[in-house]
Amino acid sequence: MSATLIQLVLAGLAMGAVYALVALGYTLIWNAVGIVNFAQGDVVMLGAYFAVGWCVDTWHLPIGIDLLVMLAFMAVFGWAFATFVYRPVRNASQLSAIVATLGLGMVLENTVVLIWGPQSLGFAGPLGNATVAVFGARIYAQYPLILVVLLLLMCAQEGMFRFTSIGRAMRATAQDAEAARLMGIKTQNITTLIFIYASVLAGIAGWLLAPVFYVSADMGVRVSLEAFAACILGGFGSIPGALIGGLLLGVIESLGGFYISSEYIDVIAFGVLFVTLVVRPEGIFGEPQMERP
Amino acid sequence: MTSRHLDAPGRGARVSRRAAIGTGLAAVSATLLPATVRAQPSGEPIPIGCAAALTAQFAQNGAWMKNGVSLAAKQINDKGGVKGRPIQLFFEDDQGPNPTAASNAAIKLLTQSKVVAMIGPHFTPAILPVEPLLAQHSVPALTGATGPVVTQQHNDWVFRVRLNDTTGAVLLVKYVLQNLGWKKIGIDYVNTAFGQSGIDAVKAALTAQGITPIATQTHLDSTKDFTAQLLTFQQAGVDGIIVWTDDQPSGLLVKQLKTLGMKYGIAGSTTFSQPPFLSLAGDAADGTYSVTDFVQSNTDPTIAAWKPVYHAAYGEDPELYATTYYDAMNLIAFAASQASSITGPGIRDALTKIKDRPGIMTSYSWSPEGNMVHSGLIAVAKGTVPTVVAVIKE
Repeated sequence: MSATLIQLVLAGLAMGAVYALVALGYTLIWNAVGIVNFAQGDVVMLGAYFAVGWCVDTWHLPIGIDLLVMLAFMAVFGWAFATFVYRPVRNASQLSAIVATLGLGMVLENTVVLIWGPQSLGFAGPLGNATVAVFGARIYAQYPLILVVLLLLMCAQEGMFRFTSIGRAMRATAQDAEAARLMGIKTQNITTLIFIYASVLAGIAGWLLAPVFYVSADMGVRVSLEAFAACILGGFGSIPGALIGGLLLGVIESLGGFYISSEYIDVIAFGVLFVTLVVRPEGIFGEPQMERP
Repeated sequence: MTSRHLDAPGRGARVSRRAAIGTGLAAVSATLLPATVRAQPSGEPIPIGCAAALTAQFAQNGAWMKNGVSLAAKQINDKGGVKGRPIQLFFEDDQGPNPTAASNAAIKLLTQSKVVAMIGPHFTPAILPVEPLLAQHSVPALTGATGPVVTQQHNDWVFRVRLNDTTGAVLLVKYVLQNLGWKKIGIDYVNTAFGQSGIDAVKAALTAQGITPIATQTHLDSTKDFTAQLLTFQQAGVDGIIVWTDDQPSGLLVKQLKTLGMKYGIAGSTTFSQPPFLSLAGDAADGTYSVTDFVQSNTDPTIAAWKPVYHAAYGEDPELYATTYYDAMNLIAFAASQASSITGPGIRDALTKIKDRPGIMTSYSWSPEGNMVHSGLIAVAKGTVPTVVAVIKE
C-alpha cells in the first residue's frame, strides 16, 4: 500500500471518527427519546469553546485537566439540556422537539460568539503540530489520537452497557422506554443520563477536533450534517452503524477527493448515501421496519 | 489601456501619501480638540447605511468594518459634519457571504432607514443580489468585495474600494513567475462566487503568460481536512499553488501543508496576509505570499500615522477591514460635500468625479468599471508578520 493511500485512509478515518462520535450522540438520543438532536454538532462546538476559551486560554489549566473540567461542565450541560429543553416538549409532537433542538443550536452558536468573540480560537492540543510516520506516510499525530480515543470510548461504552446496571438500564430505555418503565426502571432519570452521556461524548469530540478544525461558532454545523449522513448510512438508531457509517463516510470523502476530484467530494459522499438508501433503505446495520398492512 | 509595474516597497503615490498624512494628522488633532471648540453639526442628519457581518462566522470582520466606519463618522461629525449636517449611521447584519441576509439588510436600509449611500455588503456573494436593489432605489454603495464579477454587472451604483481581483491576480501571477520562479502551478479555491471569480482571474492571468495549471482543487468554507488536496498537488509535482479562499480554510490549509511536510510554495488572495489567517496558521504562515491592499506592518508613513488614531479608539491595531471602510466612509462624506444635492444620485455623481483622493490605504480614483483602487501590495509572511515585498500599481 502506497504512503499516499495510507495518508488518505488515515486522514479519512480520523475525520470519520469525528463523524462517528457525533453520530453516536444522535443515535443514543434517538433511541432513548425518539428525537433527532440537531444541536449535537453545536454541543461539540460548545465543548471545544469551553475547553479552549476558558480552561486553556483564560484559566491556563494544563492539558488533561482542561479536558476533565470541560467534561464536568458538559455533564451539567447535558442535565440542563434534558431538563430545560427536552422535558418541556417531551409530550408535544416530535416536530416541536426537533425545532427545540434547532433553536438550542442557534442559541449556542450565538452565545459562544457573545462570550468568546467571533474570531476563531487556535488550540495546540496535547500533541501540538507533531506528526507520526505510519508505514512511510507522514500524518498529523492528532489523527491517530482521535482514532485511539474513539476505540477506547467504544470499548468503555460496550463494557458499561453490558456489565453495569445503569448501562443495562440505559440500553433498556434506549430500546423501549415504555417497557423499561413497566419493568421498574426510572426512565426519566435514565433519559437524563443519556443526555448527559451524549453531551460528554460531544465534549470529547470537540476537544479532539479543536486542534484540527480550530474553534469557531460554525465548527459543528458541517460535522453534524456529515454525522447525520453517517447515521443514515450505517442505519439510523444502530450504534455499530453510527461507528461504521462515520468511518466509511470519512474514508469515502478522503479517497474520492484524491482519486476523483475535490470538486465532487459532496457528490461522491452523498451519492454513496443515495445509492445505499435505494439499495438498502434501512442502512448497513439497520433493521427493516415492519408495518402492519 | 492600463500599465502595471512592480515597485520597491514604500514607493509610489508619494505626493498623495504626504497629503494623506496631513489628513490623518488633521483627524488626530480633531479628536484631541475639546468638544466645545469644535463646530457641532446641527442640520438634518445624513442617513448612511452599513451592511456588515455582525453575526456568524465572519462576525469579527464585521466588527472591524463597523469600527472603521464609526470612527470615520465620529471624526466627520466632530469636525462639523457635511455641510453642517451630521452623519447618521444605520447598521444591519448581512451575516457575511449570505446572499439572503444581505438582501434583507439592504432592503431594510434602503426602504426603512432611507439611506442616501451604503457601505457594504463586503462579501462578493452578498453584494451581487444587492446590486439591482441599489439601482432600483438610486443609492450608491461602496464595497470591499474583490470578486471581478461584482463590477462585471456594469452597475453604475457600485463602487469598489479595494483592489479588483482581476488586477490582483495578474500581479500575483507575474510575481510568482518572475520573482519566485514557479513554472508548474496548481490552483485551489473556495467554492463561492468570491473564490470562483478570483480563481478565474488567476487562470486568465496564467493563460496570458502561456501557463496551464497542472492541478485544480476546490473546497468549501467548512472544509477541515485538506490532505487529499495537498497530496494531489504533491503528486502533480507543482512548484507552488495559488489559492483564493477565506480566513478559516486559509489557516487550515497552510497549517496542514506544513504539517504534512509539503515542499511546494503557496501564494494567494488577501486573506493570506490578514490577522485571522496569521493567528490561525501560527508559525506555519511563514513564507506564504499574498496580494493585498493593507498589512499592519507596512512602514508607509500614512499607515504609521493611522495606527495610533485607531488604537486610541479601539485599543488594537487597525487591519484591512477597519481601514478599508474608514476610507469608504470618508469618501462618501467627501462626495456628499461635493455633491449638488445630498441624495443618492447626487453622491453617486460626485463619487464618479473622485480623482487622486488620498486615503489611509491608497489614493482613490474612480474608473468607469466602478473601481476606486488601482494599487496594491505583494506581501510575504515572515514568521507571523506579513512584510511588503512589492508595491504594485495599475
